[in-house]
Amino acid sequence: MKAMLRHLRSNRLALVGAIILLAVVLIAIFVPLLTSGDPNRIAMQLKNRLPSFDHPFGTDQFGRDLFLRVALGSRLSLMIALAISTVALVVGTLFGIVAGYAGGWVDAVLSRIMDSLMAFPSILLALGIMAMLGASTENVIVALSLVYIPRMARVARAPVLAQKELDYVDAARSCGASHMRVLFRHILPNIVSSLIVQVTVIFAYAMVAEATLGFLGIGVPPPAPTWGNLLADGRRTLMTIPYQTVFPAIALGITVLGINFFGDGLRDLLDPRMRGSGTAAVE
Amino acid sequence: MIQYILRRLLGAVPTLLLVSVVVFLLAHLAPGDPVVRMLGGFATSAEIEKARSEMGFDRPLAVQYVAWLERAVQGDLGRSINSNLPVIEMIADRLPRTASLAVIALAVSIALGVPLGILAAVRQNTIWDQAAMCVSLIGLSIPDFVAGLLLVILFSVELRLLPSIGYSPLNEGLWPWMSHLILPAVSLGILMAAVTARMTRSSMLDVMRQDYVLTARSKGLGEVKVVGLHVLKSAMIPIITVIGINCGAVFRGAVVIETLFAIPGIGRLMISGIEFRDYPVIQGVLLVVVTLYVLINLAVDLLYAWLDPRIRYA
Repeated sequence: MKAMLRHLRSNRLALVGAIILLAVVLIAIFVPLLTSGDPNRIAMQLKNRLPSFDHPFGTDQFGRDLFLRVALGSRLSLMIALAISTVALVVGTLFGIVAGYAGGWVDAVLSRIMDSLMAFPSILLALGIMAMLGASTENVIVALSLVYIPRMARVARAPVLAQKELDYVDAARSCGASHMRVLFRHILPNIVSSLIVQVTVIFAYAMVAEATLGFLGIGVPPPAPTWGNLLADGRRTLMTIPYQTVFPAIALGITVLGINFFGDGLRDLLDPRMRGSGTAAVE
Repeated sequence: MIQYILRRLLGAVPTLLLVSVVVFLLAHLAPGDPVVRMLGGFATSAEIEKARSEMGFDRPLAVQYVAWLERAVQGDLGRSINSNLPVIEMIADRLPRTASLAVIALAVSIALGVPLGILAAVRQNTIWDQAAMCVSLIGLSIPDFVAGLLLVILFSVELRLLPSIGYSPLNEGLWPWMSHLILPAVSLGILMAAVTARMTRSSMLDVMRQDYVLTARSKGLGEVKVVGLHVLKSAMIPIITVIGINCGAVFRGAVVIETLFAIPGIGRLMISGIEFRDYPVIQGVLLVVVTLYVLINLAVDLLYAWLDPRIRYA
């Protein structure tokens, strides 16, 4: 933790990222708590108001306060992305390390399944699963978890292949440690840094993917004010009242930027060999 | 080389088979009766039974899969429930539009990304480098459809320079075609340009540390020649991989960007398929796109192996 704080101070971009993220989290927690208005209440007499003191971001085409909706949207979007990346981290890591450690047919079967899921462009797989399950918050989490589990598993598997050949594994085995113990107590701590780096990347992707599904009208059902839904609403009035799109667009862009800045710094700290190569994959 | 190509082609077969299983199951594992879902709430039970046996839904799943795959391999992806047109024709109709978008978006990403990456690498650890990497990180962070929305606000709503939606075929004139594709292609290309820039920078830096670059410099070769003749050539290999990865990103973006700009391509087809619960369309698009995606990745790998013979023997 101390090393992290010291690193944050020396890496200005990571610091900026951490500050942005902290601000978004604080807004997500406190704005809905401190304001009394209902973000989904329709008030047609207030529709399409320009930004003012009462409505800092103006109102949308149904007279709903946009500031409140963007703020509540940050809470929804963060929580959904958190749920997705947690599932991907736990399940993906489990699949990856078991495949890498067991080898043989277990590895072959698991790796083939993961490969075939990764053969889909991620958004198309998510769309296919959503088409099957139907639009709901839970299904968004299920669909995007399935998309990111193989991407997590791949990152977890590779270092296990290298680690299991090392002497300390033989030493632990010869002391009578079970495979389970070797895998979870000895190998897992050694690969944890690459897992953390990958899960921050997945968190950012999950956030964008959830917004994308919402924008396409196949994500969290309206009127829930996720950022994707707000952007889909904004698109309808894009030609006449563009600011209704600008605010949620900026909120989403800045948050993802914050995660990427922070994630980049985190990777430099945890995985110094990768320093400066800076290529987050596109998917 | 031929042996390597054959080995890789064979390696893609199991992946594609598993993909086809996933695509098949997507329509069949959905909760509820697929036939009822397709026909909607107004069908009588006799109609449902008739459709069920016509579509073969009364046979075991494995038998249905094999029959479906046999037809799909022969290019028969079934008929759209909504329009009753053959799915393969609908896809063939729309593919050129998606391809137009893809080609221009890739051109944008190369035109922006490669020079930015070269600049950052040649001026490593200067303000130029930091600025280029900061710009590329911003590019990485703005989702393509958000960039698209902001570009529409700027260029269509405020400046009124470019159309905000629609598509015009190439045979109706070059400018209408281009003008409808510029905003979509740029929105899609920004993200890919960012990835390309970062990869260009890091692979240039890797090459610049090599001994032969030092040799070239010590021979008295100018910086432009060192970079142009020696570094760039070797650095192209990883850059080509990234451009290949970007081809995949085009499919991702196509769905979203085609929806945003109302371009009737295969992405749009997929979305309307989902809206109408038109499972043959959804399955057909997924199958075609994933096959293309796998083949493009394979082609990139082969190109890579051709450029760098060490890979073939790894």
